[in-house]
Amino acid sequence: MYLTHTFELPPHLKKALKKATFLEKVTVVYLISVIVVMFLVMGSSQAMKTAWLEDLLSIVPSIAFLVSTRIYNRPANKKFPYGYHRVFSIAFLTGSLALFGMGMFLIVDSSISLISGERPTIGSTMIFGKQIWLGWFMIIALLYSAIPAMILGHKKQKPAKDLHNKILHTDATTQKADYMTAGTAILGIIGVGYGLWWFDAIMAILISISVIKDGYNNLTNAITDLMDRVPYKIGSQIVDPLLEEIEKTIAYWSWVEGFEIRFREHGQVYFGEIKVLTSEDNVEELITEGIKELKQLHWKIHDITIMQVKSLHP
Amino acid sequence: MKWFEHLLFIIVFLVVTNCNMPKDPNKSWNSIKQHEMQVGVVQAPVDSERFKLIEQEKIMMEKFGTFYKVKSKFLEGTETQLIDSLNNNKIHLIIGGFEKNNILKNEVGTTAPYDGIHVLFIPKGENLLLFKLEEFIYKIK
Repeated sequence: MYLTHTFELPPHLKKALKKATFLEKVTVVYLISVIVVMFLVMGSSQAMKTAWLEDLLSIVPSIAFLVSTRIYNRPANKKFPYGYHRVFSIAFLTGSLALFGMGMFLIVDSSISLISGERPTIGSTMIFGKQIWLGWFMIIALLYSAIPAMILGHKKQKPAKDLHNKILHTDATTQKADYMTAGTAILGIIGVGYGLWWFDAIMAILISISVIKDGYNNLTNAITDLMDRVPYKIGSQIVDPLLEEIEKTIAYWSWVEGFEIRFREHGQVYFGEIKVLTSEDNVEELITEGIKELKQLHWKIHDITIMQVKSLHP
Repeated sequence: MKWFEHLLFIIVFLVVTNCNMPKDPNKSWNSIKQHEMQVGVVQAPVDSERFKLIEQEKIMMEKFGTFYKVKSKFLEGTETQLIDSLNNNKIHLIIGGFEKNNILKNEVGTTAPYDGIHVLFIPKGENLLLFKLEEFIYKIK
């Protein structure tokens, strides 16, 4: 059986992966602390409940990344001749589906709260002999859920782009935007403090919409990746310019009279086939050289097949 | 980042200009101060443990009235009648020897337990009234 070769990241990216793994480990520990703190002060606020569930789910991409990094570069075998690269895509799909599903649940739950006129009751506690309204603790907990998350999200963006890792990139982008969730929930709590009970449910609905939007975008991305869509540049809706570069390189080969390329993403790396028209005699040698040259264009180009054909359009 | 800066500004503004949170959506505490405190009392068989507990809670509410200089009026009824009155803002709170994990807790707001176990029922979301009741509870604890 023809097996794809074992994948090795270039040395400078091994460093980036190490950094990303460390940041994700920090994220998991931090998010567990956020989940506990938020749960302790949650009370009956709908906005707090929504923000808490969002935080609970935001741990999924980090765990998925950490698990995937232990699997993705296992050598290909007879059972998995293309290797394990797609573990990232599967992890991405799982996280997106969870996010989207939870968003749908939250919007229904928050709307029921609003329609039924559910009024959040927020009590108080004594700290060092002073009575303090629990709403203030909720606000502090929400700030704790936002500020370190923003910093972590910001730090993860560069390694995500360098590694062309969508799950890491989504995680970084979502975390960077976490302040909006926290900010919206804070406004909900302040609304309750001012006696505007409906403000809490409305803010919860806004958070749910943002969760659904994130979930939907990620879900469509994950599905289209698994459907072998042409590779897209990370964090954008444009085809990776690397494909154009590949086409330009092949166009320069004097032995090629005509060609067509087809590439797809397998997690972080690309697999592709190139059909060439040629009348040269030493095709085998030329193809071997061609594959070598194309692979030097970028580390993402992992597995290429160049085949000689009689006609490009059968 | 702009959004976050604006949010921080709003929070600081709110804190600086008004630390007077929480407030009541239905202005229960204002109504108590201006008129009187309508306390629902759950009917219980005389000589039962619950009856004794409710009598203690009545005394506690009278002390609460004295503490805040508000008049109290006690209205008897069944749990169902009183919860209905509470949710329709006809009374301000219910005393009935309720434990903190009572099955009715989802239908009403509850105070912190005044003895570690028992709570008072208030209308959901009346957070200023709750704040005042808990201020008193923490004082007598």
